[in-house]
Amino acid sequence: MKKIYLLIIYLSFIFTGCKELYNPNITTSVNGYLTVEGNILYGNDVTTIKLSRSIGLNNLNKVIHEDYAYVVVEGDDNSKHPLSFIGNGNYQSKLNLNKAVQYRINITTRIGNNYVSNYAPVLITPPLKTSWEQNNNGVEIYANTSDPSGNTKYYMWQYDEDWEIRSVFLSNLKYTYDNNNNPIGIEYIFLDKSYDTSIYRCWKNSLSRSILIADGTSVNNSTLAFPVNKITPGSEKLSVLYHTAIKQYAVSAQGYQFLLQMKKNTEQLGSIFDPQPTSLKSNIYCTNNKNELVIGYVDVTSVSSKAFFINNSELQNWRYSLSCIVAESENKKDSIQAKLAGLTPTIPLEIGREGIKILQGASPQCVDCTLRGGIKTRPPYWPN
Amino acid sequence: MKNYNFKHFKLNDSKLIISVCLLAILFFSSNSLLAQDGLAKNKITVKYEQVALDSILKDLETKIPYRFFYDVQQLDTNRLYFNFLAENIDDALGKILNESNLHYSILNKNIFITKGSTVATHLPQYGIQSTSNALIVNKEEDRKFSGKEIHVSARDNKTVVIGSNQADKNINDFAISGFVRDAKTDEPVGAASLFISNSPIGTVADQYGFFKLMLPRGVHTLNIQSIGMEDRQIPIRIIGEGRINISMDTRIIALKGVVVTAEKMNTIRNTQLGVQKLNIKTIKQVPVVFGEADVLRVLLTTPGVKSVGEASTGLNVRGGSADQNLILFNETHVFNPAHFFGMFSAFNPEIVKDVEIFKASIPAKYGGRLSSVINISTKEGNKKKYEGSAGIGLLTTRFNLEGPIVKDKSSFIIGGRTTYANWLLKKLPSEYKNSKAGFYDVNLVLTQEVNKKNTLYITGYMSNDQFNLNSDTVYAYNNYNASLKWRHSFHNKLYSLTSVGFDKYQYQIYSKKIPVNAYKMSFDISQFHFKSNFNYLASNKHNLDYGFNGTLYYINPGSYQPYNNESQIIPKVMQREQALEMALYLSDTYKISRKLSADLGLRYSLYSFLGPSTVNNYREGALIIEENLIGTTQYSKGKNIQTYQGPEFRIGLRQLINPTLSLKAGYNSLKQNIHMLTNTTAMAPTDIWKLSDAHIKPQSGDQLSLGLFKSLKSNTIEISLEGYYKRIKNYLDFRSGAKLVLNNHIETDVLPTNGKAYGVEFQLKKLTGKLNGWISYSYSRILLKADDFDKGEIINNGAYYPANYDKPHDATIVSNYKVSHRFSVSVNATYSTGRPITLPIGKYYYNNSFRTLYGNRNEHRIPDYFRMDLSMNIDGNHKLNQKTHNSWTIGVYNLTGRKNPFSVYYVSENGVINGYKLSIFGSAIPYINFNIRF
Repeated sequence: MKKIYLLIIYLSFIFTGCKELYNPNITTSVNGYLTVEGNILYGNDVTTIKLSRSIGLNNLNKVIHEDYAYVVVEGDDNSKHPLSFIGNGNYQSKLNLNKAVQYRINITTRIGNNYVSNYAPVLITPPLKTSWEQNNNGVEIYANTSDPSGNTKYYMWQYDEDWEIRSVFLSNLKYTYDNNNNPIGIEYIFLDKSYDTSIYRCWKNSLSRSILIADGTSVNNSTLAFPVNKITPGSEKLSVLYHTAIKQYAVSAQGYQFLLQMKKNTEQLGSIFDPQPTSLKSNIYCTNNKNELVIGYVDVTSVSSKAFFINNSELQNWRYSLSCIVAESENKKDSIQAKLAGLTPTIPLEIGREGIKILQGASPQCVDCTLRGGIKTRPPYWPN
Repeated sequence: MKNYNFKHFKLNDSKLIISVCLLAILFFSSNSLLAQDGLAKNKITVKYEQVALDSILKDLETKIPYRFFYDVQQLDTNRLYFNFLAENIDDALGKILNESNLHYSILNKNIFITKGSTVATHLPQYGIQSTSNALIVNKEEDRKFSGKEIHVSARDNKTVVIGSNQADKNINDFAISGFVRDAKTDEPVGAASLFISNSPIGTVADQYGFFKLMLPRGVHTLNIQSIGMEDRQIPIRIIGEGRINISMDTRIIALKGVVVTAEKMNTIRNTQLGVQKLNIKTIKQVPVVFGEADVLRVLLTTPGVKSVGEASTGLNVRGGSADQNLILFNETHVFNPAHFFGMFSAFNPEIVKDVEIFKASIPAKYGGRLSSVINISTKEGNKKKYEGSAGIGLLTTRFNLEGPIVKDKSSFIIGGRTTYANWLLKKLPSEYKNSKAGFYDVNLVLTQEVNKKNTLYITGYMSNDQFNLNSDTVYAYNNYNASLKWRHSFHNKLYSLTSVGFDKYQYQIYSKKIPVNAYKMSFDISQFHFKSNFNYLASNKHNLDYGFNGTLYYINPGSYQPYNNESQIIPKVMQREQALEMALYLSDTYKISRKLSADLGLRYSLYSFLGPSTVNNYREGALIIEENLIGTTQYSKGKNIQTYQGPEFRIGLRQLINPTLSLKAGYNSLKQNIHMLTNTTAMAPTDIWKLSDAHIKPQSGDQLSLGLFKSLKSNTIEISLEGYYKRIKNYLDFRSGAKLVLNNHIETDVLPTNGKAYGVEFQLKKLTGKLNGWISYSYSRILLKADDFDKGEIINNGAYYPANYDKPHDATIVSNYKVSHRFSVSVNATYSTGRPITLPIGKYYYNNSFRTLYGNRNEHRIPDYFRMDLSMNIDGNHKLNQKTHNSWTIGVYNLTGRKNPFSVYYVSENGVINGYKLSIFGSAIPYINFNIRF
């Protein structure tokens, strides 16, 4: 057995430490190529086009929005459907499009450069069904789709998710401080000694950051099952209640290729047998300078959405845990500073004639859910 | 001849019997010799009564201007009676010796007297053994030489007479052929160098130990050398055509002092450029990862051979891509020579004899690949006794067994190798715990000597690899190879080698985690080949090689099918491709003068892409892109769809400036009709092969090379300096966003590029002595260009860009120091420029994440590569007669623990971009291997 152990150590020795963070100094600077994200939407959904500019690799991660451009959706029937600028590089409108017409985007930037996409026909996205299952990998959420007409060959999905988190401890106490902001004592938060429930329930949210696409040509139309999202076992997301809204889009073959290449270039590298990154094939070009690189592929499509909840009670052995430090202290300045250092007061444990004699403190993140990144605003669709 | 220094000698009978090998009969007329020698003119008058023969001879010595040489013990002690009256000395000697059943022979003014047996003409009769040289003449036999063979045993130093006196007196050059074999096992000694002292005549035995020489009439000293064998010097006298089989002893104890070895003499003298040959002994000395002697990886230490990184056995030879190497394993073609993520090569070191790589002078008999031919020869089984070996390392174990099937006639050798890393991987930290990897390979070689003129060889090879990298997708691939070879010798000047074989490579990827999406994807390529090669030694100036090659290819480019009944995957099966490639070739090794010789080769290849097939049609004159696809044309079975043909030239020149310095030049052109499609940097198991078809043209290339070869210190040190310039046409790169699998219009995704490669290679090599090894350095570039928009895409604005494996500077030192006969230490060190990569030029925000923006291809490089390895080879004792011999190899790979980057890449994680450096080995890796021979 000892030998086996040694061999294991030997192998770990070989395979560890092979991947390191690395940031070579690349001096090549990029002078802001236009990035166009979004599709022209057919139907009742609002079309949103996001315009931004590329930046140098070593620049701060701050999006440079392309604001105050003139963005219009044009039909090959000469119809024009302008979008309005709503800030942060976003342009929106609900469009009234004709299924028989091909559309393109036409963007004129503030400085007068003009960009157009190729005309594209309207794609109709088939309805979305969703399902989820709990397995060893946690909870996996699937988009199940079918297009009996056989028109839709390529799909893209996006999701957003919200989840509720709850504090471990309720609190009705707070510190009192001296001038140097050192706790010197405690008092009730509310005069009626009630608990501060505002920091007991919080909500968090996130968006899909990975490109989720599938080639439906290889699967029978009735049964494409695409794993859209995966929640690792014990994740906070399912500690109470979880909600997700998934959007499904039909995309064109070239649009799919564009997204697939983007995914390969930016998400799927790092193995021994990596494909090499290559440049993207946009369908947008600058009419002033056809050689200018433009990032983006604009399709004309519709959206199918689906939203649903997953409750922690529907799961087995989810085992979400949050580590908390809990301590007791006498209600004296020195004791509080020594025993409750770094902790938040929660509740009185012993009350004497002169008030609270002994109190409890706990790790702040176990008391105040906003410290775990939550917001206190309940989403409108959230049940009580 | 005047240099010979003869002495009286004693002959030991018992030794004679041992030393005379199987057949040693020389047929010669003493009369003609004597006539030539003028002996017949001397007349004597003498009378002997009751005189011992010894005394008679002594007396005769005083009367005629000749000296006698003989073994006193062979002479009868009987008292003899003779009376000669003005008798020809010729007749007189005949009478005297006949009486005692003795024979004589003459060289200059020396007469050798030997005792002969007249029992059987086929059996060894006698031999005069001397520490020097001697000549044997069988006075009695006067038969026409035909097909008789002379066998020279390992400890035999007699002068051998080859030919018969009936040979045409007007002919002065004769073809001599034969085999060089190991005295102990009867296995061929391949690549033995044979040459004549003080003469430019020389040759190298082929892998079967066969050689041919054209020698002028007269007495010569034939030198035979091969690494690991005792050097031999055999005095020979050529009077006609003949065969001579030579046995060599294994060198058990390294000789002190200067040892001349085969390859060295060879490199200066032959006309080939850019050739490296390494035998398994040398290969095993070079430290490698996990201590598993690696046939292909050792080639990386020689100049001009590179790979993209540690996890790739794909070799890049002089700017060629990995698919431009013809990897032959006993004539069979191995498509994927890698195991275990490319960390091991697919050849079991226990059964490999040697490996040879042709980088520039590719013989005309090989074709179909642009940059190199790598010839891996296996051992032949021991024809005398059973033996074997086994080895155990940390990740693999291997064995081989060999022995006679019919003693001295046929033999087998079987080898196998497997890994047991699988269960270990499971126990690793979570990052790797779900990974699995395993492989095995099996080799079999059978040799059957039908008769003296016909030998059959059967080679079989099979390998299997299976792995998953912490996902539910399993990759598996197999190689299958089989060949039957027939070697036939027509006569001393002509022999042929004919082989038929079958090679197959297949891979499969499957995933069954999501039942409705469970799939299996597979690819396979197979080929049937027929090769017929004739070698004809036309004269001592011309040696011709000619023949025919035929290959029938079948490729199933891919199928995507449901894994089980539950799966709803729509099956997609690509149409099979088939093609026939035929080639005729002729080459002549022409010795123009003593100093100048040339290799002139011409190969004509004819390639046909055959039906059944559905060929895509594109708009006339338009770009080959999907949008221009207008329809298809059906071709029926066997219909010739597209033909590509053309000549290929192989020219080599060698000018010997002095015996230790030669200048060589070469020009080569080649064509390749089978392409590997890949967009990964390393050779991946999922790479697919594609045949040239109506849209995809063959790759072609030519190379001009020059070399200067010098040997120093009695040929123990060899220095070479070579330069080359190469042009490559229609090398397939891929277009941006290419889809290479399951694509039935692949021509819209690949991009024919043109390339140029050039470089200088230097090597200093010392293969003998206590300290041996080599130093190599190369400066080389490989640049590609895609500047024609009509071919699909312009890359990097049509400028030359470096290929993935362009590593300009590459230096390696391989050294081995023999501390004692049982203990040696090897150290090697290698440095190379980092390979080119495409790095992002910026970033953009899309789909809620920052993402990298890529610009021009291969404009940056990963950091430089440096590695140093150490190994110690410890042998058990060398007693020949013990049952098993064992040895240990202990070493450290990557001694300095440097994290050599294999790649640098960027990924978007949680909305931001992180850059990483990936190394295959992140530390020094110790290893231990135990080998046992029995």
